[in-house]
Amino acid sequence: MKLAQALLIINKSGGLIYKKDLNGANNNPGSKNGNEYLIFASTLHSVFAIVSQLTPKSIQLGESGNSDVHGDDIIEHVPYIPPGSNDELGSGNSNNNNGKGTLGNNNNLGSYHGTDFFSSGFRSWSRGGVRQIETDALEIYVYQTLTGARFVLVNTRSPAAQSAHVITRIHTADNLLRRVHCLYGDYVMKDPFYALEMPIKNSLFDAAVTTLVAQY
Amino acid sequence: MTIYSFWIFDKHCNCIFNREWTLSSNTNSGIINAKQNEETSKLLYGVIFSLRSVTRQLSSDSKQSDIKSISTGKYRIHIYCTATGLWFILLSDFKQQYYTQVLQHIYGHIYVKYITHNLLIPSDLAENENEKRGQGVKRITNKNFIKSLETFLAPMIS
Amino acid sequence: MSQPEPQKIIDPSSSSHKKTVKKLPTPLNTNASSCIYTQSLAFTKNKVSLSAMAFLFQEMVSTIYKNSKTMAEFEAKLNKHGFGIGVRLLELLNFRASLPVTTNSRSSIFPSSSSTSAQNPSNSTVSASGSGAAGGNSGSGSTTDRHSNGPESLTSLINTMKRRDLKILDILQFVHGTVWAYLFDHPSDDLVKSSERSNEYMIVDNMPVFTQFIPGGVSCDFYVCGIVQGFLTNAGFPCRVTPHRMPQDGFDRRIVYLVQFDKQVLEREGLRFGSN
Repeated sequence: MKLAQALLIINKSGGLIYKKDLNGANNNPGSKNGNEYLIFASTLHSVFAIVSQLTPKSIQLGESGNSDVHGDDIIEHVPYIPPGSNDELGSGNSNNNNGKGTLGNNNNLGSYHGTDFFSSGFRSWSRGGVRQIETDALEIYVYQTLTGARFVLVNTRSPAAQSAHVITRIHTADNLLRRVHCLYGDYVMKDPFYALEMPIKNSLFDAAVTTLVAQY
Repeated sequence: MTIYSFWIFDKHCNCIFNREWTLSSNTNSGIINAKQNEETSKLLYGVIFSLRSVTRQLSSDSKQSDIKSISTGKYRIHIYCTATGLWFILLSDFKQQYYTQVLQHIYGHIYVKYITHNLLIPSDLAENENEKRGQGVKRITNKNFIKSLETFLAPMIS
Repeated sequence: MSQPEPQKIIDPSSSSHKKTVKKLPTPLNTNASSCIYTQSLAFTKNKVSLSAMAFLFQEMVSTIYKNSKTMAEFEAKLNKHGFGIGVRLLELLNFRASLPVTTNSRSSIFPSSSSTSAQNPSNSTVSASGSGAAGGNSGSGSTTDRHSNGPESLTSLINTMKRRDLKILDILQFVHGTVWAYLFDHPSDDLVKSSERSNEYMIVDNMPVFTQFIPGGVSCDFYVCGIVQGFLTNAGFPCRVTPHRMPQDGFDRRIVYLVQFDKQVLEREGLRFGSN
């Protein structure tokens, strides 16, 4: 099962700096020529600022008073989900310690030690920003970084994925996008010929992303 | 599961009904029809409008891809668009997956019953040109509609 | 309403924190400035963050790139930066190779070294400080130890200085093994003599550490070439070193460093060791 259809990276000023069709362009006839993605990137960027202003009164009241919004922890704290544990996505049960999910030693993790880029849960940096958008045909997940860059996963809806709870799906996507962020830190940030905030044209990063996504 | 507010927009971008609950413990708290011309309604409309059009372009078969929900770290927006251009919008906590059925029920069993079938209410609340393009001031004030909606949504508030 | 109370709690602790911070810099600063001089020359397994290294290298490369007009100039400059490191490495690594096995865990040239270290108490302090430094937080105690009697005990350990490498093959073995292990934590993957030209040798690295995050050509590998070139030239083997990408066996970043010795090196070798 393919998890991802397209992967986008949006820089902090709303420009689309990286786009990768993961299903192969010939797979879907209505493949987008990139213009749609450009518009999408800037729209998403502007929506981010607005969405936090729309926070309902009752949440605002709850936050200013005693913080009894325990629910925040559920979505803000993302558990570690190893790649390849698709059953996580399919049935929603959490037997992620079956070992097949680890990346193994054959995989080059760049400057990261150990078996995976990270080995524990993390806190989402997205505070009130858009995390997921669902339409009849698509699921879009957004991973926000501290520097303002956003990693976006565009995914076709599959019936198998629907059975998992939406929070589990957001967490799985966050795990994938965080790994892409790790690769970005290695292969884009450490490229001396890359100009910041500019489109990423990098064969090594491309290859690394392809191998990573293939595990999902 | 908690719901925070409920909105109806018509095809002229006018907010024709809105209900916001301020206290999750009190189902009678909050306001009815007070925010139509505030920034909030326009922002909400704008967010959904732009995301709706842009996601339509992204999906390969645009004929059957409408936006269903937008999730943020704090809340979730559920959207149901009818063929007549009405938007039913519900803001809930993010844990809730789908409210499509709820919104469909509101449309089919409450809106159609009390508003569409009511001959005293005009089919289009914006009657002249000035009231189109988001400038409308008319709203749904039908007592039966509000009462029925309150009864239906009350269990979901807390 | 409850703000004043936490402030009271924070204030004294923060002021006392400031005091400790104020006290600290003096010992810290003297330590930091003299650290590089007091540090033992003996082999310690120091690990450097690959990320930090890569960022530093990236910044160096981009600065050189901006200040270069042509690609050849860029490569030459990068080469020159590496050259200086190679020159210094020759000194350091040859010295380390002279140390007995307890301090230099890699070379086993001196079979009797273990017994000498057991007899001499000063040896054990050196080896202890050597291993302790790898831990990082061994504290100021070991640093002062090293400072007071470190250098004397280190030189007293050396029974025989390592002889200068005279043969091409010897010095290349040293580069392949010791230099590579020092730089990249593993010996180079292969050392090959060219079958076509007698002055050409190849050092193979399947996974170049410095340039693993840099896409495109091999220009940035001129830095490592510079290190090798500086090392060999200063050892009396003037040569040219160039990088070539030759993917093989799934290593698509595999790099071959081609070492071309000057004619005089081969002539000297022929005169001294007979032509073969």
